[in-house]
Amino acid sequence: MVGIVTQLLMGSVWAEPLPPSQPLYVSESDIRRTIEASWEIFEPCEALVETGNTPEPLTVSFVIEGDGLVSSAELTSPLGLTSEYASCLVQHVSTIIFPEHWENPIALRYVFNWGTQGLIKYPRVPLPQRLSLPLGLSFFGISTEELYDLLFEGDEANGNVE
Amino acid sequence: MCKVSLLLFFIVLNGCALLQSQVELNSADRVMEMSSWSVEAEGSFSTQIFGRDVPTNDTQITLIGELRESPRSLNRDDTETWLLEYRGFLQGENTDSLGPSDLTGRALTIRRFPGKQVLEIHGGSHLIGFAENDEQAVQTQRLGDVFDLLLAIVNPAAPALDVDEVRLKMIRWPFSAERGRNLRSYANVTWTHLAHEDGLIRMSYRGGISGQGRDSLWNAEIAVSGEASGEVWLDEITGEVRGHEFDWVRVLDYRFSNTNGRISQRQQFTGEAQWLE
Repeated sequence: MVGIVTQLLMGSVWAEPLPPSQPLYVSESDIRRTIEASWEIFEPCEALVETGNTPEPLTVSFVIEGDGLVSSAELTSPLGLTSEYASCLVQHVSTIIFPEHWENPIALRYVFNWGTQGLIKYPRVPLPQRLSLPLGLSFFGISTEELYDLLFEGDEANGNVE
Repeated sequence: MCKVSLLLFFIVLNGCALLQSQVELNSADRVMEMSSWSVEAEGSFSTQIFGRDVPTNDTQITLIGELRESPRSLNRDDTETWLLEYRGFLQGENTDSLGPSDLTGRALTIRRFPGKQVLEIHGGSHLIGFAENDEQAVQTQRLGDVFDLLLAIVNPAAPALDVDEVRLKMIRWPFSAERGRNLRSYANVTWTHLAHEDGLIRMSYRGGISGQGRDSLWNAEIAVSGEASGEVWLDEITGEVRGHEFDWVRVLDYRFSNTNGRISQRQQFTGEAQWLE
């Protein structure tokens, strides 16, 4: 009897869903920072750059799942390149662990160009959670993603973050 | 002892279940019948982003459709639950550019005391966001949270007044999308009974809008202000809204955690609702 009641009480406590604590989505700078923080994993690839004639930049397309893991990655530019260097990049991108984010996979491209910062192209697949403006706000010419970056990346861009 | 405990346990459990349960839709002293209204609303939106040097566009959206309210349950606490369906909605920048709205076919439930203000809504999450993408946002924004005032337009809960009598009474419409995402707006208006003619009571109202909300997805706190005015025509027997012309201005101020960026949007809504059946 005590067990049943305890179970029911616990059930009622645990039945309350907790508010989401993950970010709305992983921003461009989040992804850039994560890749840069993982830069050492590409060291084996750098060695291959020195020994081969590798064109730059190389574009790798990959998908980040909600748990932050990369589910697929492939070289998309230049097409048909099969160098060890390119294979190495693709292989190591797959091992990066990104921040967890809201429910849907993020598909994106990252341009690797040694010596310069990579350039992220935004996903082309709309993600429902990212397509919701703040509640009550009507569209005013800035996409949801742009607004998010504008608000939360703006402090850094404007020098407001120490 | 164990059997007695179990019996008591199930009596308590059954009692709790009864308290939460619903009863028949119509009782001897109350009849809940379906109603529908044609609604037309024009919204003009002017937005400012503070702390960022970014230009924003003023936008206009016209929304036309049918709101159908049908009874769902009469609750043990004497409140009623109604289903509000969005039927045949069109939207566009103006009446010449109307296209299908993704609001069509969506619905939420409203709980209220008979003839009183909306206490709470459920299902608002289906009425927000974008249908396809946000590159054509004026066409694809679902707008249920922006035009949430339509909930109040068909549920203004006007007070019972004699002709020429004046009284202060609040219109409230607590929009909620999901846990942690809500927008509670109130219009604290003064009602005036203008006339009583052809079986209809004609009343006007005017007053200030206030309220607050939050959006946990954006870590945003929302402050609501503004002004509301309009005229309603009520059935003299049922008190139900037969017509409603409105001119409301709402200002939403958004403050976000961990950023100095702020957004303010002035929303002006004009339009009308006409009872269909």
